[in-house]
Amino acid sequence: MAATDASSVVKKKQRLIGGLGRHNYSGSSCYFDSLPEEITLEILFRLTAEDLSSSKCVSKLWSSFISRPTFGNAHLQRQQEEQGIIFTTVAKPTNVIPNYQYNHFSISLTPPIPPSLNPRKELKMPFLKLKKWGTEEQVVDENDKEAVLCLKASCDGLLLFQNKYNPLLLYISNPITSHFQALPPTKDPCSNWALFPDHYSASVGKYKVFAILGRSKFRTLTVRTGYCDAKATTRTYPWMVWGKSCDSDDFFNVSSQIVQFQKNLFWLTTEKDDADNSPFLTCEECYYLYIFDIKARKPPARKQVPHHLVQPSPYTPCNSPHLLSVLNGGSLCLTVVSPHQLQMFVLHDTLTNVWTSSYCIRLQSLRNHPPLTSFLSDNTCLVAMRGVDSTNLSNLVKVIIHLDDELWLYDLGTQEPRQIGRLSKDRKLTRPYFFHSNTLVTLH
Amino acid sequence: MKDSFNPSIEPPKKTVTLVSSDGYDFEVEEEVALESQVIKDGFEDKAVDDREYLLFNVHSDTLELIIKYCEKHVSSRKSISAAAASSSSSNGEEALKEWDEHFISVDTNTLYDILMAADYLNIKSLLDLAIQKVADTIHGRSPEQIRKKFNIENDSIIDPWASE
Repeated sequence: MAATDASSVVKKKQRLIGGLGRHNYSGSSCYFDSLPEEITLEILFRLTAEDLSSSKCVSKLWSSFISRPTFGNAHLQRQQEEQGIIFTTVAKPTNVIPNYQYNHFSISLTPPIPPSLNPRKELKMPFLKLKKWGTEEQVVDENDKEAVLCLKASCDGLLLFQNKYNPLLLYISNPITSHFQALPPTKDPCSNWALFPDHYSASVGKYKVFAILGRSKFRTLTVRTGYCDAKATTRTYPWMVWGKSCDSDDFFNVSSQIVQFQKNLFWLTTEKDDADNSPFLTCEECYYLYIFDIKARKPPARKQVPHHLVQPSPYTPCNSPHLLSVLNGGSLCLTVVSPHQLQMFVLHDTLTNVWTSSYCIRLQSLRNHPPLTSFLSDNTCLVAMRGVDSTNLSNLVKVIIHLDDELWLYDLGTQEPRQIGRLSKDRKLTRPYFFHSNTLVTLH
Repeated sequence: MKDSFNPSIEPPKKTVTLVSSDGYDFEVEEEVALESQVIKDGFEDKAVDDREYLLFNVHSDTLELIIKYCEKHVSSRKSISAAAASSSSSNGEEALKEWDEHFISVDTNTLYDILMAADYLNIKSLLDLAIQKVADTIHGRSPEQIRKKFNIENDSIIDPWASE
């Protein structure tokens, strides 16, 4: 077929001897590093994170493209168009490998499934090279079994880690550029962290690390990532404390990840009901949504999620992690996770505080019963996708299940389980739920 | 198929002339040339007898390939829409995909030439195909293999993974 098509191309004789006399690539060797910038970027955007880490070492030019602060976000967005999930696994020390290992996998959600059924190549974190803040001393080395790092937040492909045994130590990492750096130690052993771009500064690549210390007490750190002399660099500014603590902070539990949308940060808490004035009797707990304006820096606004919709119960313990997600069009969706059901509530307008109970998924009523006993079980990860419409909430949450050596994806939309890869029993999926930009983050 | 060789039945098709950088003339059907957004953009402004394009950046060897690609795509589009109109089943799109894959399986130099030409002529589908081919070629290779494959000079970036 192709041969007959080709016959119609007629190459006529050369009418200008020597040709038009400009570029003549053919026959001579090509130079892929001289491609126009937009073509090179387009090529790089289509690579998986694993391939990017190789490509970064190809040349200074490619490295500089990949290390641009804007690249990570652009790449993530492109990859998400193809509905991929990046997730992190933790492997416990074994006799063979004495230290904890963290790996990033990326999995494409769009069929066809890769024939090998193996997760795509792992991105290993260069933990062995981790240096203590301001020194050359290694804080995490091969023999340091104590060095358990928990993924706390992520943004634009940057990951924020916290040392489990020394929660004052934080690290920032860009797995794509394999850049890993300790941050100045914080003074508060806090566990609720966010990382978001500093939109209000003129410079690209400025991020804020944000910690919730109390109802209206926060700690922030500005981090500037950049690219200097063919190396990714991170500059930090001193920690700042903002706001003050109050008495009722003890009865306050952050129970979702911190989500950023436009100029606001959102998070969910469980607290005692303020309207309940009898402190001895009912002590009823309920959910509150906090809205914090990043720029105004006023104490955060607080909205109660109405009692009649949902309230914490023994089955949805107050510390059980729920999912907040921003839907297409800007409305907010809260997924309350309990062992046997997912309940989704949509808040179209934060000012009116009108929540609609939009969707409920019961574990028992799912077709092709997923191989899990509870949405809260240890081997299960829930991933909230980005770019979902409020009319199609069944696509919002994907369930990843680790069964023996197999990795399954249960799609709540189609209610079909599908094997997506293999993962050694020794590896644990990171504890569920805290993730951002499709990156899963540990809760503990 | 046979009819197309009989000039008494088919009216003569309008053609344009594309001139490669090394001075070869290519006479192609108008609709084939219009696959290039660059040619399409200024097409209506040009006089009918002046439909000749000097392609300074495209060598004749590459141009031959590009024309082959455009012709295939124009003819497949026709047969796909014809099949759709007669509601007969057709695997035209799949066949075209296969053809594309075969078409783009070329050596690195040719791939580079096609990339540059598709960019210059602004043929989106071909540019897309070529970019994907480069991305697929990079997949799973080490930095050194990528450099070798694409003839990229090693300006001594240290591999952060290898140095562990």
